[in-house]
Amino acid sequence: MVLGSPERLLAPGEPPLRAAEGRIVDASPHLIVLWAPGPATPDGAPAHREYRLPMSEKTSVWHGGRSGPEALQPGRDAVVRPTGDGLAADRIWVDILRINGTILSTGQRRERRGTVHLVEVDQGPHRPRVQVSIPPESLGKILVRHPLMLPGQLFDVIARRTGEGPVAVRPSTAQSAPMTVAPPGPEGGMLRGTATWYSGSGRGAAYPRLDPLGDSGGCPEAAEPCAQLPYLSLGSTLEVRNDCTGRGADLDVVECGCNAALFCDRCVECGTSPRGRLVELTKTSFVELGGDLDAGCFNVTLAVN
Amino acid sequence: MAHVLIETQLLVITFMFALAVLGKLHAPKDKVRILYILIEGAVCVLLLVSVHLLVRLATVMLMISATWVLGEMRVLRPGQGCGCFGVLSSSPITRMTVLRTGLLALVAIAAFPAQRTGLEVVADLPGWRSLLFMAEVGLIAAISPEISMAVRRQRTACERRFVPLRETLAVLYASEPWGRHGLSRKTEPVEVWRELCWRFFVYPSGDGRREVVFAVSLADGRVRAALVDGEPSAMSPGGPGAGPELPVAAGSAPARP
Repeated sequence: MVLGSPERLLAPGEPPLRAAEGRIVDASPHLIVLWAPGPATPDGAPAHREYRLPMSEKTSVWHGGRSGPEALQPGRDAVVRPTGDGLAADRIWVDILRINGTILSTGQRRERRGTVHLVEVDQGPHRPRVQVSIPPESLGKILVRHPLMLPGQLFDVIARRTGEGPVAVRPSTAQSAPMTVAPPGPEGGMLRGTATWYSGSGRGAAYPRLDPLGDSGGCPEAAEPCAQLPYLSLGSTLEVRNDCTGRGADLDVVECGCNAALFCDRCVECGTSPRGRLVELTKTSFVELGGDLDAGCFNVTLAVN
Repeated sequence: MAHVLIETQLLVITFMFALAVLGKLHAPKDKVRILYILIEGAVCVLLLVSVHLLVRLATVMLMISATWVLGEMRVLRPGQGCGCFGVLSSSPITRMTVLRTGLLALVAIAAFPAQRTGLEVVADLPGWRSLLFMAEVGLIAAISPEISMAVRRQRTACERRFVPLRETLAVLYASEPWGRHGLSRKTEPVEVWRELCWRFFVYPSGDGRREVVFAVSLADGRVRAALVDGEPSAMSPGGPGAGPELPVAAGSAPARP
């Protein structure tokens, strides 16, 4: 408006998929039905959208690990990624969560199956504090990435939602410790690094370097991001491309990604990305760009227009 | 000679508190940081005007606690900066940062027996005191990560540089477009945001029906302005970046069991 039309920096890639996120209301071996919140009716009453997605024998289901159609129980939350032609469900993640942030405290609980470790995590000023339990069967995998689990250290796991709170399934970072060496800056206005996801609904991105002044939406207490990111504001548009699938989309910044700024890890989904989390996507946006929620990240190229 | 040495320590510690307050004033502020500014500002002023032992004791205690806290933070939050001198202290805490604060604690202890107020010593600065003062401040600067940060900051591209709001406002107020629209400096902007090297300010126009949007370049101080009608368009997170629609119907929401 004041500065004229923005210039596109990223060449158009594969278009994004159209993912669906909502609550399972019905599922059969051939069809899954989801309800998701939709725009309110003219009289202000809450409404919903209903998604009906065919399933094939190739549809894979995640529910704390590879699972089957028995995991598609009504009342559970699901994210569905369609096949490339959009005709059927390709992958379904049921009750998947991501818990990441700084460890506040740790504890243990004895159960019949063994010792369950409890980790309280500060997920930053925009997300709730949460206590995640680590069952004995997941502890070994998580200790590989988080060997000490001390208060103050970073923590990042994929978890499954249960009635008793989130249960950690696997680590969601390729490196354990925060790194302090800054990666190289942008090349030709484009940044390369890691895209992760967070448990936000709808489409959009949480960006780690929002200006803390004015109405830009940044936090004064946010850490300096590991990647050399430019200052932006809520509502800024990012050109995001998944380097593993070639799918790209323009996404609005909808939240401050203060948490992502703390991490200086790499994604190794397809080759090794430069260090630093450039952006956290909502579950839907992450899946639409071809990301696997249970993998936790993809190598990304980011540009600002 | 001993009293010159002691009084110089008083000047050094007061100067460091003043620098810390100045640095924090130019950084983003939250409630905790405002509290730090108030405490450090109060200590700085009291060191300048008072010889009361409680003031000196509070200074020593403050510096010893700061050294201990920084030592803990270095281990527990290895990626975080201390924020001691505002945005320049955003690099991770190192041993040198802790050592620097420890040295300042020693300086505060050495200043304890000073017989005169800071202002009286400042008035008597020329001579040995100024040489000693400059040597000590130079030593502290040499072990401070903020100096290299300040040099790096000068080399930082504008889109990654933190720029205080008051600096941008000063550029805006001095610009020709601001004068052309005849707005008062007392008018609060309706909205302020930043995109890369530009900071935007929205003000209600003189007739109250339109809005003036100013874009201030953080790279070279250029200012552009545009008059726009009504509210800016709302953000639509569901709008861009999605493929073809999935089969959708409408109804009321189910409850989670």
